[in-house]
Amino acid sequence: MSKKEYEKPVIIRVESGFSKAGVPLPKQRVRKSIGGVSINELVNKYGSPLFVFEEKSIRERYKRAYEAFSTRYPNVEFGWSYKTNYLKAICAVFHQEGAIAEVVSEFEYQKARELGIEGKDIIYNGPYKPYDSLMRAVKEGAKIHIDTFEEINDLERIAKELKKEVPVAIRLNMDTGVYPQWSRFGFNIESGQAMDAVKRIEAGGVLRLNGLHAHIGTFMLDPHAYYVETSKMVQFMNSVETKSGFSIEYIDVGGGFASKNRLKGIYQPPEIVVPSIDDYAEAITSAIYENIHGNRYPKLYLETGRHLIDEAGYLVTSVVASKTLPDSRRSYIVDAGVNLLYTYFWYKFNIELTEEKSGISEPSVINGPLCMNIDVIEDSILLPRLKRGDMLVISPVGAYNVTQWMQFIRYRPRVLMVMEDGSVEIIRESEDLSDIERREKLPKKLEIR
Amino acid sequence: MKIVSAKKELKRYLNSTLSAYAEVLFIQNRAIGAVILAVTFVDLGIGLGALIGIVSALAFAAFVRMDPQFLESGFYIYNPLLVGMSVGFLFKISLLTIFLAIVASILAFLITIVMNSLLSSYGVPILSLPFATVSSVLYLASLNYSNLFYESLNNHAFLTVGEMCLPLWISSFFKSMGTIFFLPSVWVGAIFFSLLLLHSRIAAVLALGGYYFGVWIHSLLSGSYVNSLLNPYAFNYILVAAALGGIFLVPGIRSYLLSALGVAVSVVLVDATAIFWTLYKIPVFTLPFNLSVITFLFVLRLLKYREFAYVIKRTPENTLSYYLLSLFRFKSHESAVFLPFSGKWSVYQGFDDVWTHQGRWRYAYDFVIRDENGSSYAFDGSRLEDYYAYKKPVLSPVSGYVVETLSSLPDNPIGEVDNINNWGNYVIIYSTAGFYVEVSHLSQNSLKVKKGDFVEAGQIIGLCGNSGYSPEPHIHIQVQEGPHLGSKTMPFNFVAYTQKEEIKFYDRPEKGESISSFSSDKSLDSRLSFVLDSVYEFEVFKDMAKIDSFSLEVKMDRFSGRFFFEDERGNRLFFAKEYGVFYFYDYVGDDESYLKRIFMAVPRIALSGSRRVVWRDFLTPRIVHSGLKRALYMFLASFCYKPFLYGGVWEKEGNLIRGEIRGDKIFKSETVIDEVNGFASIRLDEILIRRKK
Repeated sequence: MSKKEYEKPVIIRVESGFSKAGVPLPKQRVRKSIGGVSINELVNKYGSPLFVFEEKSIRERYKRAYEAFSTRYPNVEFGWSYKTNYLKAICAVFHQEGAIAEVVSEFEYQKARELGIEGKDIIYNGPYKPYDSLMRAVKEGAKIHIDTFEEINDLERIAKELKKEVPVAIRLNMDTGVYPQWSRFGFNIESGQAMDAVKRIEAGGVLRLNGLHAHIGTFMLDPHAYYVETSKMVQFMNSVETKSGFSIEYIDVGGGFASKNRLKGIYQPPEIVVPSIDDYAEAITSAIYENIHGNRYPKLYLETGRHLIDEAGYLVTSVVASKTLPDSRRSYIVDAGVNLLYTYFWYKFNIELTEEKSGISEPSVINGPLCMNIDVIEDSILLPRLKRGDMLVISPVGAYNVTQWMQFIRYRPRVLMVMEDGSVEIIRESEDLSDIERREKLPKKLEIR
Repeated sequence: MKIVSAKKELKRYLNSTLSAYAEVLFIQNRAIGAVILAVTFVDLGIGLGALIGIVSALAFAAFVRMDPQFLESGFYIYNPLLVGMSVGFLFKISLLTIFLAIVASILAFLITIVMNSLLSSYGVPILSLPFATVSSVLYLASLNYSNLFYESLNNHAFLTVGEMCLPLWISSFFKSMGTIFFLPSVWVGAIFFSLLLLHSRIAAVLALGGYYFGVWIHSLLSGSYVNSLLNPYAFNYILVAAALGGIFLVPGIRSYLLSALGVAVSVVLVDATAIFWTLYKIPVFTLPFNLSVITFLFVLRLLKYREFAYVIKRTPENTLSYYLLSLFRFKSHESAVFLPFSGKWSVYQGFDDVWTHQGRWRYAYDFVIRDENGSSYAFDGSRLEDYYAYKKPVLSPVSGYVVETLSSLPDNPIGEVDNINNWGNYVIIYSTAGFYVEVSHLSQNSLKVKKGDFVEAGQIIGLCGNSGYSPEPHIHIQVQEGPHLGSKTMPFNFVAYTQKEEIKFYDRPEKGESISSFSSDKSLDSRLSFVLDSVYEFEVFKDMAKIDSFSLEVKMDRFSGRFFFEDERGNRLFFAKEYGVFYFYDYVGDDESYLKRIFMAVPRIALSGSRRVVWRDFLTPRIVHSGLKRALYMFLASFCYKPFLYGGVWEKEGNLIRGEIRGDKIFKSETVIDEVNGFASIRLDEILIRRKK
């Protein structure tokens, strides 16, 4: 038996409040496995840190969301929001489930095409679509959602060049009673700008308006905002169909449904504040039914991203060192930092151990491995004493992190997917030097030796 | 302008004249009418008499400003035609007899209209009853007109020329054929029979069979075979057999048996009337035929007999084809409704089911939502909110008027049922197709419609609930006879639904099966909208070489408001679009038209936006084949349709529809829907029809 390490004694101020009886033993949150596969085994085999996605959970969440809408509205389709997570394997799962692609740049467009998605199954959004990519999208029959008057000009030029009528949709923005109002995208309904855009398109004579799109915000906690949004869109559709010769074939209400993540600054747990997918579906579909004339229902598109993927992603990280800070908090340095966790700006993550630990929980800080003062994953958490090699599981991290992560100071780690049958696949290899230096060029003069 | 319209009207009058001649033999073909017209001039008196009959009826119609469109079919004037002939048959042509013919045929025309407006409300034809009546009246009256008699009684001896060179049993048949037009000549009869044979094998065989069957029965009763053959009124058997066996009933074994019965009845009627009528020196004419056929049809129509030819086509073969297509493609004998929900639901109870779908209420469906494990609820299922179906939108299954609603009953908690108000909250809608549909167990105060509202199929009417006798939230739907709650139910089908990847049309799911609602894609829907008067040009290729070109025009039928494509030669392909399905349902025209190929290549298109869907459909030899093969197969199909009901499978992926039709060989088709409007191309085996833009 090795000798116990000496450590200078400190007095820990235990913040109670958990129990009036006084014993500050908060329940340890423990996750031993993901999708039935032991996390310890994953780390032993694939190293640390690791992003882990669970296929079964993705599919279940998609089906649940699809059912919530399809049992309320007869004509609904999801567009997988690429920017939320555009790892091929992730996109492929959604496409297999029946989602089309929703992209916001030529890069994402190329990615979807590369994956085998046909142009007609791509929704092309975004405030800037380079001319060449618009040309390609038109040729391939993508659903193009116009954001600006300049884009109308570009598309008309393309239509004339290709000598064909181009179906297009416009993005709308409106007041839905939420703050901030995302008015920088698309055309505003209340000011009459949106109807101007419709008239402008009709006057051009080469584009055919067949869809309406809007996206009112992100992590929307109020389903009523969608009710207002959808109502205004359907009313706008009605007036477009009356005032112009266009027939609106689809409306795309965008995304922004919240996931069960705890926002910083919101006190209640997500189980209480985050509406269920049924609440969102109810708001959107009843708004259609209440505002539509007759029974010619436009197709309803949803660009749900975060809600579908966030909770299926985990980041497994290991303690590499620990120390006691001057204020007596315990500081742990782990091998994954904020370079991998873009969403730490908003979220207070769920941090779990991979096994029960004995001992009292003490106030701790979790710091990433970057040589930067801001690399703090969690600055106030009660943890039992951990040692090097102990693992923490951070979740939900499925949305936005593997797209907005940075190669900064460290390489980006492996990404795994635990498949439905319990097997494990690497869906993105960890980086090495060649990945980073491949694009670099060293002028002859600067070569060392 | 005036000259053009006068020409157009003259053409209509000419058309009705020719149609009227053919109509006597139940033929709808103006060319055949023209041949018959020519043949009637074998006897100048009869030929002229017929023409005088028609012209006077038409002139009278014009005088009273009757719309010439009504006359075009020949239906209103074949009775005046026959009356004119009967005058020409009895008397020589003179000013007096012409006058008589005019008066008599106008009387026949008037009686036609009177009888038709009386009988048409029963859906029964008047046949040549006006003729039989008026001619009898005329012959009776002429007994007094001695002036006419002695000078101008017509002599028809020459008609019997050459009949000796055929055996009696053959010559008598042809003679009877001729007698239908007052020309009891073997040769004239032979021509008429050939025309009938050319027009329809079924009708010709019925004429032959009916005649000999009638003669056989008559000879059994009377004891003399020769006398039976010589009976001048034996032509009635021919008309009865053709009318019942192939014209007013759909050709088939049952109809053939009925027509044999009808012939037997007419034998008795012929002999009975002959005795009575002869007393007054009146020929029996077509009275036995009319009495027997009208009586049969009256009763069958009252009984809503399934094989009653509600739609009579140009030939019995075409009537049969139309009937088979309606029956198997659209289940036309039962009503059809849309699914009352959106998304994927599961059948909880079907027709004749174990719990409540019994007795008067056995034709009903109950639906719930089930998850992958087959459970209809999440958690422990103790609360209404746990049930997936609870508060889901309920959509109108038909377009029609709301006749009754109730929405005040509470949703029972799980474990309790309300067995006083069994139906719970409900909506009863009177469909524009003429039946009532009831949807019940709706959620309290969830109704979006009220009594008197017009709803369109697919519109929301309320939310699924647990009111009434309902163990768990579900949707109950039934089609019923009356507008009242608890009215007797009737069997029905669902217009379209999806089961896995297959779209089923006019079908019923089994208990426990999961089905999804079917909804049309607005884009496809508008691309397959055809605006009246638009013209589509096509080029036809065979083995990459252009062989032909043609154009289609979108038109609307003047009477029925039905839409069709018409090519340059006047062939018509009827189409419709409803409930998210585009389909062709009728073709009128010649064998060689490309329109027929289009019908065959894509009889129906599900306007589904899904990536890939599959559906089944049926065709008949009438659509698939041409020439002798079509004639033979359709004739055989009247005895047993099964081998001639050609099934096919169609698969749609995006704009491309691939079809495979199992006829006497496998036909393959490939149709591409245009990006903007209409069809881009249609390929059927080696023929490619491509749109020219």
